[in-house]
Amino acid sequence: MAATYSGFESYAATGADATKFNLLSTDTASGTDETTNTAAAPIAIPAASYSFSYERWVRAHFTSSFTTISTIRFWRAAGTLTGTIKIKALTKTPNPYTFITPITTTSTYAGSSGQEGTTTNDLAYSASTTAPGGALTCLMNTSSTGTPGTTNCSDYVVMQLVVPSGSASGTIGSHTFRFGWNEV
Amino acid sequence: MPNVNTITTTSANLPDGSVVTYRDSDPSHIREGNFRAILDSSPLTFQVTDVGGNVFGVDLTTGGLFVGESLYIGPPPVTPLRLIYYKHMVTELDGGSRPLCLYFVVGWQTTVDGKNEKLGLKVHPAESRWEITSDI
Repeated sequence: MAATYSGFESYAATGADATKFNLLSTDTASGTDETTNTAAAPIAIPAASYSFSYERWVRAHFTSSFTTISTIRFWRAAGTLTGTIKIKALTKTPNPYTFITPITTTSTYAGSSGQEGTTTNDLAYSASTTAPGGALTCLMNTSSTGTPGTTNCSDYVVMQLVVPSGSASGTIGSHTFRFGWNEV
Repeated sequence: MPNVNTITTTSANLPDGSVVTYRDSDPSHIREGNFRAILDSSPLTFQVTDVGGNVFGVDLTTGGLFVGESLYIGPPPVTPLRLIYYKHMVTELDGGSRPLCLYFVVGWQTTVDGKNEKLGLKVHPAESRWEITSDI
């Protein structure tokens, strides 16, 4: 047997989990719903400066049969970002397995804060199944608590879409994100 | 897409003459217990069998790597060799695809003049090929 992978997003104030990963969905009211669709709550293109998506808190969860999981990497593997729209992402720090209610303003945890107009903390891209050099590195937490599992989750990866003024309206289309890891 | 269960059997010869073997289909507590026993016992040799029945292994006394009956000798060890073994997996975030085993590695690491050196077999199941490389 091998490890069974599940990808989870945590949301709301409680850190409840879902499997939806729509960076365009927002919840500017309370940050308690990860499923708000883009038609109902699009990210407004600002007259100046930047607008931000709801932070997306995602992590890998491993179950079934394995001995160790290590060297977990995360990167963007498909999709096009037009203009200067960016996807910022970082492994959450400190306390990488502790969830905090997502926000729709510039994010320290996703690395957008202060870096909106730079390439710093842009989520690394590679269409390859091999992780690019800039891929995020996560640790395996065997003692993490909370939904979905009590153990065997990766660190949280926090992502956020950054939309600058002057951006063209529309959707950014589908994007693919990948986890890679070493397993025994 | 290659089977996620790329390895069917793992075994090692230990210094006390015993042989530890486990199947990938064994329950996790058996596999983990046996794997820990191997790691804690400074194995003399370590080998895995893939789903095609091919054997890939390392002789941790000589630095030799073997594929079936063929033996590839590495540089002589200066310090004790440490086993390196793992499968490298990848999948999409939403789990829409089964994890893909890009490659698995059987090899060793040692220290030469204060620097870590590695050598091993990197086996790419989807491409039906393997290589000897220090990039493990």
